[in-house]
Amino acid sequence: MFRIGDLKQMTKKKPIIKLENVWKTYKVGETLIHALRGLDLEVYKDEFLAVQGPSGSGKSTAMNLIGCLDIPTKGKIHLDGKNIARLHESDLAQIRGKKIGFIFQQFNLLNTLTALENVMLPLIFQGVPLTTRMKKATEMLKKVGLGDRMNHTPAQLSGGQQQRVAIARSLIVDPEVILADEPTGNLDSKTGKEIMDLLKDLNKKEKKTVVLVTHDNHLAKMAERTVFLKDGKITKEQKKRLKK
Amino acid sequence: MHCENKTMIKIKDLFGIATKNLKHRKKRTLLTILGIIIGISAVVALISIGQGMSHSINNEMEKIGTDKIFIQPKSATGMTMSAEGGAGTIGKKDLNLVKKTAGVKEATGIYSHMAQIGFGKELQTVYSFGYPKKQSEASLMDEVHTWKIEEGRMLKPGEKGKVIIGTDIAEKLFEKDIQVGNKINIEDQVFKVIGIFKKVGDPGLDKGILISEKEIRELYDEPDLFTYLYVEITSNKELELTADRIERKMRKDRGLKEGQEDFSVQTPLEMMEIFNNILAIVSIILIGIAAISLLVGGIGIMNTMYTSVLQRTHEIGIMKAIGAKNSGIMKLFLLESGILGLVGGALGVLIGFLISKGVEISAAQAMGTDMLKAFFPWYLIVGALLFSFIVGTLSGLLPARRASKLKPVDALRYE
Repeated sequence: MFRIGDLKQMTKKKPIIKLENVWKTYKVGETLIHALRGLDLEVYKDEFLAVQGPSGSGKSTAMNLIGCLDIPTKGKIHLDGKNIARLHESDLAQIRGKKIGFIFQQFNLLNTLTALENVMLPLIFQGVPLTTRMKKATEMLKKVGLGDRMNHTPAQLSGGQQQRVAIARSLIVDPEVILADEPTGNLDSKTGKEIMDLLKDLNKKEKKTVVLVTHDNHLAKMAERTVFLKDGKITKEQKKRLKK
Repeated sequence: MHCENKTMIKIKDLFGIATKNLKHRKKRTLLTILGIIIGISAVVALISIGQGMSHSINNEMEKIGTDKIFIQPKSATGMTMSAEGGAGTIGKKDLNLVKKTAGVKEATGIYSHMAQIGFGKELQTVYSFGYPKKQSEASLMDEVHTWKIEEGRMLKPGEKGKVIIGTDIAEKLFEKDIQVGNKINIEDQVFKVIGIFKKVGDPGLDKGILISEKEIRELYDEPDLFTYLYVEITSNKELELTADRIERKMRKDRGLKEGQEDFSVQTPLEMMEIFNNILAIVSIILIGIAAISLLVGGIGIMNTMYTSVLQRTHEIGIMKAIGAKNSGIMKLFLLESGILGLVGGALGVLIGFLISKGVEISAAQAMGTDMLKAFFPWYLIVGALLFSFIVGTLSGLLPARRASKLKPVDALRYE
């Protein structure tokens, strides 16, 4: 259904997330380390964006800022047109909880909780009642193909299954952006591909915006658009024509 | 105004996460709450035994009545300057003096002495008491002593050659049990046992014998002195007043100044007060010790929670990433430490209950009386639980604050 025209239209659309001349500086001892040096980046609705770069390029820092996990030293970050660069942690937490879905390389599930409880967790922090939580979490786990593993703890699940739980957890709040940080880094190539397919499906069928952060050229190729990060700046941008 | 952020976490939702964390580390949880368990069980046991004791003593005093006054020679600790040294004495003259005091309805005196009694070939030493001849005096004595007859019948005032014996004498003292109708020797004179007292837990009475006053005075060649005087007053509203009158009169008779008395005049209220004061002091000391234990327990919880924050830093990062606010993390950790306190408190209440029941049962076996009843009001249990929850929560305050202040990025990076 998508044509080149759509792509053009997309670029005209207002971005969901817009980073404007963003700097992030860390102080290590007496030295200042500039992780980001005036990064400009826009994330559009429904797109599949890859942020690619070698380690030390600042892509983790960029991901933290896109995901509202951190605030920049300098510059603006607009989320839905609102500058969040100076917001308080509690407000950021709320934004994260409602608009961002995280998928990590380490899966980052809570080991004491079952798959179902892990998936329900974001809704607990939003005060959603138990019955609704249960219903939604069950639905999400079924969607990622884990309907029969709901009461297993992470230790009882394989890496791929754990990542599926994490994806279900990220989806449960119906986020605007799914932020995946090396989601296949801890998986074998076959499982990794399954997870990538799942993410692609979410983007295509569910119209979820996906931002993939990776150092892997291969993975980045799956995205519609890739930005290359080096020394805290975007050095290159690549758009892919959609094969449909 | 519409509130945009409706994202209030509900405590009951965090409950599940908190309990799972505690269950996950059972041994540590148990070790952590040990201090609380000891502290709370000590407090609960002490209060329940203390209150039970106080109740039964007060009951006993009420049974005796608030219209009674007791007079006795002041013991050596009273330290009078009398030439003879030691305590003063109380004799028939004093009894008559008391009887003539305004507000006094009746008065009687009891004389007691150690007695050698023989049954079969055995000889044993017991306490003997004299029972007055006058009916009204005898009734007053019955009332004060609240003695009951287990077997046989009570001594009649003035009855001679008969004796009532305590249960310990009947059942324990001699190789062969003494039955009603048996004959025993008191200082080589023969008496017939006509009754056995019911066990009361008072060693004086359980190991005592009661004979007529005339006979006891003859046996020990003591025509005059009394061990105790018992007074019944006309109106219990004038208890203190009458007690004062008696004291003044006796002092005047003996030519003593105030503060020099070689006798003491006591009311049940005063005796209750003395007892309650002693109990209060003992309680304060023991509860102080328990408080230290609770403090140590609280520090234990704090330590555990700090460790927990450190161990779960990454977890805190995850929760923050998926939308937990600082306040949410704070609540979770406070809840966990509160539950630690509460579980410790619950176990403490249980153990405290068992301890005081154990004391009650062993006291009943040792003294053969139900005098000491452990006292378990609902507010003691609820209070102990609430208190332990508060101790737990307060101990978790600083660790929870630290957890909540962690930066999400740093916490996520922490492995």
